[in-house]
Amino acid sequence: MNTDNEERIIQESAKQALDQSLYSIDKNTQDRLRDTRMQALNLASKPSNWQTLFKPFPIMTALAFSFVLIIALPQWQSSPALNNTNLLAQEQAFDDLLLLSEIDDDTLEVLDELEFALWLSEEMDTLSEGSEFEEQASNTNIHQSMGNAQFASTLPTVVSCFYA
Amino acid sequence: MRELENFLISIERRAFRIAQLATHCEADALDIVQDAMFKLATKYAHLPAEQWKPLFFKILESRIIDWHRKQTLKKKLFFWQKDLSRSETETNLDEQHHDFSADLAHPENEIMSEQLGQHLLDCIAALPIQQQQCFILRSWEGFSITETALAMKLNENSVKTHYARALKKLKDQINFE
Repeated sequence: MNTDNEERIIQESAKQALDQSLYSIDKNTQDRLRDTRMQALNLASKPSNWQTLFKPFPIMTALAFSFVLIIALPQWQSSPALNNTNLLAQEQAFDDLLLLSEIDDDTLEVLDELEFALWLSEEMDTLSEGSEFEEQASNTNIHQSMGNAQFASTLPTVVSCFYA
Repeated sequence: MRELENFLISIERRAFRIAQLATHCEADALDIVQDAMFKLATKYAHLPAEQWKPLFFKILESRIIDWHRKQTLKKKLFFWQKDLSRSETETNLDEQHHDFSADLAHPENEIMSEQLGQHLLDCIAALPIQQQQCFILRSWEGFSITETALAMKLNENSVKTHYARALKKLKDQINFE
């Protein structure tokens, strides 16, 4: 057999074999193909919701989209900065909370005592000023004012002990 | 709508067979045909009926090639898993090297034997995908070289090459001596 004849025979035989193979497709597959066809026809018969919505007014739709973009874009661009500021503040507050959570009861007591020492020093300052005024006014209570001055001079030592 | 239904009825089983030969899997073939039908129905139903056939086959070919690309990637990723379907087909072809010259002498006049028909289908199924699709579109669907090139998104020279190689392989598989 020559080559052309062989090729023609192969083409014809393949065509015939493929045609015959269509009859061997099982019932289940044929049913599924029919269902698929019905679904495709349903899709073709009704346009999608978006098409229904926008088809009558293409120019109006385009304008509406442009308007929305013009309004929304600047806001969208500016919002991340605000979000960043808020985030930074939140992070700072969270760090403070973490620091506070790390303070134990002993440290809190020390802080209370420091506050007490500061209050005491302020009180003693007030007292010493008052005693100087009294000294200038009269020299009758010299002994008492001397005692107060001695107590005031010892106060920095007490405060430094608390800090230590 | 009636026209589209008639077109789909005329094409559905052929499309399924083409996809099945390409994928070796009924479920995947059905999925491919479904995708092609849906796309034709939703996107191109409004076009004249004469344009449906080339469009449908273009979509079908595109889906088949996509499926093969995915399979190739899958094979590369899961290289330790063997492709049983194709290797079985190839093994069967090696075993079935019969002399069909008597059957092939007058294929147009008499019904081919089932054995020869099945052997030819197996040979077509075992062809590389582009050769297979070129051969099917040219021989079965009767597409011209230009139409085949359009459907497969190839140039005409590639179509000629693929078709010639497919014919040669089929000839080698069938003993004409």
